[in-house]
Amino acid sequence: MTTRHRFHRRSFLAGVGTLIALPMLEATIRTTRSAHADEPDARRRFMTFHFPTGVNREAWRASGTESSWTLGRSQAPLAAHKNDICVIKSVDDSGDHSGSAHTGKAATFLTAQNAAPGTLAMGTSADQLIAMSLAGKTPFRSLELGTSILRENPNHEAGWDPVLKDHLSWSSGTPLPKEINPSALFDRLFAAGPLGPEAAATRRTLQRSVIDAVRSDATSLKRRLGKNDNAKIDEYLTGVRELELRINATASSCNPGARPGPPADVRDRVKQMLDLSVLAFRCDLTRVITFGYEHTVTEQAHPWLGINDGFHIGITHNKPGEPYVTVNTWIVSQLAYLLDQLKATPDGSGTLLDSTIVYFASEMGEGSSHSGLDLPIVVCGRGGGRITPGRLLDRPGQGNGNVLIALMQAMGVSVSSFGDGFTTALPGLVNT
Amino acid sequence: MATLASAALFACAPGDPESSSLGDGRGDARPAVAGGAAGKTADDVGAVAIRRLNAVEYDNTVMDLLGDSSHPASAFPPDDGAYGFTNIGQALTISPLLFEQYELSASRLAEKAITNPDIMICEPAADASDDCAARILAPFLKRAWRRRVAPSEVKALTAVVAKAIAEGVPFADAVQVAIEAALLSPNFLFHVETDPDPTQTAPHPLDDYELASRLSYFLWNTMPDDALFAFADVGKLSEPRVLERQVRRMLADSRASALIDNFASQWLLHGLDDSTPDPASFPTFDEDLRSSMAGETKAFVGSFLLGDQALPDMLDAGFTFLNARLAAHYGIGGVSGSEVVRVPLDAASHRGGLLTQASILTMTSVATRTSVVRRGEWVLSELLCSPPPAPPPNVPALPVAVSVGTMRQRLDEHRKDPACQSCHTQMDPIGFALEHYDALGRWRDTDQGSPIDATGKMASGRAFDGADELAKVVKSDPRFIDCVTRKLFTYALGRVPGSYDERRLKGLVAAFAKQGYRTKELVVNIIGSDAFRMRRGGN
Repeated sequence: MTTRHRFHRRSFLAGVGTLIALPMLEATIRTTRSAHADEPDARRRFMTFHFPTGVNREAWRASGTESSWTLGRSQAPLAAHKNDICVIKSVDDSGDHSGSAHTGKAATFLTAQNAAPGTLAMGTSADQLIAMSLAGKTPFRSLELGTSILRENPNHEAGWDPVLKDHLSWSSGTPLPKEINPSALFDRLFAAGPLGPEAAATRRTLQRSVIDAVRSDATSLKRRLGKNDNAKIDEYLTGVRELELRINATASSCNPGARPGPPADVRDRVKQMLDLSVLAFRCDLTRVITFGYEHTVTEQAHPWLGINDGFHIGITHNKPGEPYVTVNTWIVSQLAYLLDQLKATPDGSGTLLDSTIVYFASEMGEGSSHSGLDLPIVVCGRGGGRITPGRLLDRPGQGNGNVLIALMQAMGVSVSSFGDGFTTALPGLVNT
Repeated sequence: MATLASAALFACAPGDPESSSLGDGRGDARPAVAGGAAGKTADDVGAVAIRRLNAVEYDNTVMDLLGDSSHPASAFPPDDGAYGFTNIGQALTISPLLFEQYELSASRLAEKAITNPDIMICEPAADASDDCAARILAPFLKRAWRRRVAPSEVKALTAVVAKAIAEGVPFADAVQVAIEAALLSPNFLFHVETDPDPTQTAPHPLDDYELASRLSYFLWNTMPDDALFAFADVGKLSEPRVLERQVRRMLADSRASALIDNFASQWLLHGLDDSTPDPASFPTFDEDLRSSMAGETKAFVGSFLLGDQALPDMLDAGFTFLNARLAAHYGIGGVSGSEVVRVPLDAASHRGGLLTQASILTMTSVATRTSVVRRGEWVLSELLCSPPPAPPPNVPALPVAVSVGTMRQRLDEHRKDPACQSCHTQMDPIGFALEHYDALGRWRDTDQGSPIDATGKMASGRAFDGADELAKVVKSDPRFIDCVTRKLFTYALGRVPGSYDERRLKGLVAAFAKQGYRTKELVVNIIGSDAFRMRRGGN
C-alpha cells in the first residue's frame, strides 16, 4: 500500500491562514493572496455583537446632547472608549408589530423584516448583504459566532418556528449557523498540514475534481425536481461555490498564535471568540463577523457576578432591577474588551478599530415587558472614516432598519429599500 | 383500497401473516375511502420537501455503509427542527459551514473506506483496460445512494479515478477521491424522491427503493438493510403483504429503538439536555442523574411504543424503570445498578405515569425553582397539542409587588392582568397540580415553609388535586390520542399535517382505538396510509 499522508484530511482543504511555524511552508506563504486583494488602508470591516433580551432602561440611558453627553450607568465600562463610540437611543425594533415576544425580535434583528407566525425563513440580513459585496476579497465571506445554541423545538412561542429564534444571519433564506466551539473555529481558520507546493497543487486538482463531480450530480438532480426542492439544491450549490473559493484561496503569512483549548466557562468562551474575531480581521480571513452572546431566551447564569438565576426568566422577568443591571454591565465590559483589542492591533496606517464598525445591540429594548421599543445600540469604530464617533444620537421615530441601512452605507453597500420598506439611513450616523 | 381503508382493514390483520392491514396503493385507481365516507375523491397526499439526512441519520448511515462509528455529524452545526422534530425537510437547510463540514467528513470517511476489503474488492491489473474501479464503485454507489445507479453515473466517477491516476496518484488513493465525491454528492446527502412530472400534483406510488428508504429512516433512522434492498431489487417491497411483514420485522429489530431515541426523545425529552439546575440550589444534580432521568423515560416510553402496553396508560402506569441513582433520588428502595430496571409502584411512592417522572419535571423547571407556567405549557403543547399562544409583546412590566409572595400568589396577581389572563388560566392550574415535585422532580410537602396547594381547574371547568388527578384528566382528554397520532404522523413523513390530512388522521385515531391503543399498530397503519406510500409533484 502506498503511503497516503498526502491525502490525509489535514492536507485536504488545508486552512487558508496557514501556520508559518514550519520553514517548508514558505513557498506556500509567499503566494499572492488573491486577485482582488486591496490596499490595507482601503479595507473596512463590520462586526455585529449581539446581546440578548434588552437592558434595564433606567441604568442604560445615556443623557445629554450629541456632543456633550454622559454614559448610562451600565455603559460605564465604555468610559475609556467614549470617543470611539456612538450611542444611539430611541430607535425601535421594526418587527415589533409581529406579535411575538422573542422570536420575531430575534428574526428582525439584522433583517428589519417582520416574522409572521409560520415563517420558516427570513430573507437576507444586513451583515450578509455587506458580506456579498465583499465576496472574493477574503477566504471566508463571513463568520457567524456565538457561545451557545438554542435547541428549543418546538418553539415555546406557539406558531413561530424555532429556527427564527437563534439565527441572526440569513442568506437568501438560508440561516447561517453559529460556530460556538473556539478550537473548531481555530481549525477552520488555520488548519494546516505539512504540504510542499507540489503536493498542494495535486491536492487542489483532486479537490476540484470532487467539486466538479458533485456539482454535476446536483445540476442533473435539479432537472428532475420541482421548484421548492430546487431551492434546497441551490443551497447545496452555494456551499459548493463557497468551498471552491476556499480551495482557490492561498495561505496568508499570518501567525495565529496558540490554538485555544476548551473554554473553562462562558466568560472564557466569550473571550476566546472575541480574540479569534480580532485575529480573523488581523489576518484578513474575513471582513464580516456576527457574534452573538447567548440568545434571546438564554437561561445562562452568571455566577461570577453572584447571579445564579437563569438570565431570561430568572433575571429579565423575575429580577429586572439591579441583577439585570449587573449582567448588562458585564456584557458591556465584554464589548470594552473587544474595543481594547481592536484598538491595540495595528492595521495599515492606523488600528483595526479605525477600519472596523462594531454594531453592538440587542433584539429587545427591555426584557421583562418584551418591549421592542428604544433598543440599546452602540456603534463603535470609525469604519475607515465613514463614522465620526464620540456622539450621542437621539433618533425617535427611527427603526432598526434605518440603522442597518446607515451601517450598510458606511460599508459601501447602498440599498434603495431594506427589510419591511425601510428606505432611508438613520440621519447623522454616517458621514456623507 | 388505500389510505384509511388500511386502518379499517386492520381489525382482521394482527397476528395473521397471510392477511395484510396495508392497502395496495400501487396502481389502485379506486378513490381512497376516508373515515368511512365512501365515494369521496382521494385526499391530497401532501408535498414532501426534499430533505437532507439529519445528524442522526448521517451517523447511522455511515455506520451501516462503511462501519464507521466515529459520529462525524457531532461536529456539524446542529439541525434545525420544526414542528417538534429534526426531520422536517423545510427546516433542514445547508449552510456553507455545513457544506464545509460535509467535505471534511467525506474526505475522512473516504480515507478509511479504502482500507476496507469489503469495498476494495479488486486490485487493478497492470493493463490499463482493467475495470476494477467500476467493479468497486458500482455496488458501493448503489448502497451509498440507496437506489439503482445508472451506468453513466458509475462512469462519471471512474473518470474521477482515471483523472487522479493521470495526476500520478496511486490507484487506492484515486478511488478515495471518487468515494469522497460519492459521499459529498447530493445523492448521498439527500433523501431523493422524484416524480414522473415534477409539476403534477397527482399522487403516484413511491418506487420500491424510495419506499425502502422511507421505511428504514422512519423506523431505524438509517439506510435500508440487505433484506429491504433485496425486496426492492425484485420490485416486491410495495406489495402489501411483503410490506407489512417487513414493517413488523423492522419493529421487532433492535434498531427500532430509534423510535425511542429520536421520535420519543424529541417529543418528550427535548429540553432535558439543556436544563441547567443551579448547582448552589441543587447540589445533587449531575450528569449521571440527568442521564438516569432520561433512561427512565426512554425505557418507560419504549414499553408503550415497542411493547404492547396501551398508550394512554403512560399517564398513570403502575410501574416505571429506575436505576439505583434515580431510585435513591425518588426515595424508592431495593433498586441497584446503573441500568434501569422495571419497578412496580405503589401509592406511597408518589410516582406513576409520565407526569411524575423527574426528566419532565426537571426540564420544565428553571435554574432555581419549579416553573408552574412551563409545566402547564408543556402538558398543553406536548400531550394535548394545544399550545397556548405566545405572550404578547410590550406587556407592561409587572408591578414590584408581583415579585414577592408564594408562586401561587404571584401568578394569581399575574392572571389579574387581562393581557395575561386568557393563557395563564389554561397553563397555571396544570402546573400547580405538579407543585408537589421540586425542580428536580423530588416529592415535597412544603415549598419554602408553606404547604403545597396542588389544586387546579382545567379551562373546561374540571377540577383536580395533584398529579394523580391531573393524569386522569389528561388521559381521558380525546386530544391526547389525537396529539400522539399527529406527532407520529409528522415524524413519519417529515412534514406537518395539512388540512387534507384531517380525515386521514381521524381514521388513524379510530383504528388506534380499535386496536387497543397498541402503538405498533399505529405505526403499521401510518405506513399503510397513502400519504406514506405515495408522493406527488407540484412542490
